[in-house]
Amino acid sequence: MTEKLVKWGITSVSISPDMIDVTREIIADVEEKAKVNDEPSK
Amino acid sequence: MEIEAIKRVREKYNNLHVMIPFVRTLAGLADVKEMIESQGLVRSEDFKIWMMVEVPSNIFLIDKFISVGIDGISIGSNDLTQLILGTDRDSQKLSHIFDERNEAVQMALEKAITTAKTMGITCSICGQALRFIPS
Repeated sequence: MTEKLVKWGITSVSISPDMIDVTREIIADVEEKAKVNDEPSK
Repeated sequence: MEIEAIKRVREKYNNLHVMIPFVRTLAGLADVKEMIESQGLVRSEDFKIWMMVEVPSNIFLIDKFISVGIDGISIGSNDLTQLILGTDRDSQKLSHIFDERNEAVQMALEKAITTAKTMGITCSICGQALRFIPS
């Protein structure tokens, strides 16, 4: 779910305290992958 | 009275903004916005007006709602899911149907988020939708 929201372009998400760490990791992962995909192919 | 309270706080702290909840129609949003602005709280760099997206009509007409003039949307995923699926989380008979991963709810989320992005406004989400972790 979080992965899809980030891909679609969500600005921010609100979550329960126990989900902070895992959600941060998911978002960082998706953003990192998106960055790779955005780079022009060599 | 609420607008008075917001104005009073903003005399000292200008990081208080307004989010309009449970908007049903375009006219409803325009009316509330006009009411706020007529009291002297006008959208600017340091005063934002946001709209909550909780009612299915918001999804169908999201571009028109944004065009009324707002700085961002915040999706209330709990109410939106209940209203799209016609279910009630508090009902013993219906609560098992409540699921943000339902295809119709997912389509609604995608439309709201991608339209907000295309139209250059912020989009946040609030609710229990993020309790699902990919296994």
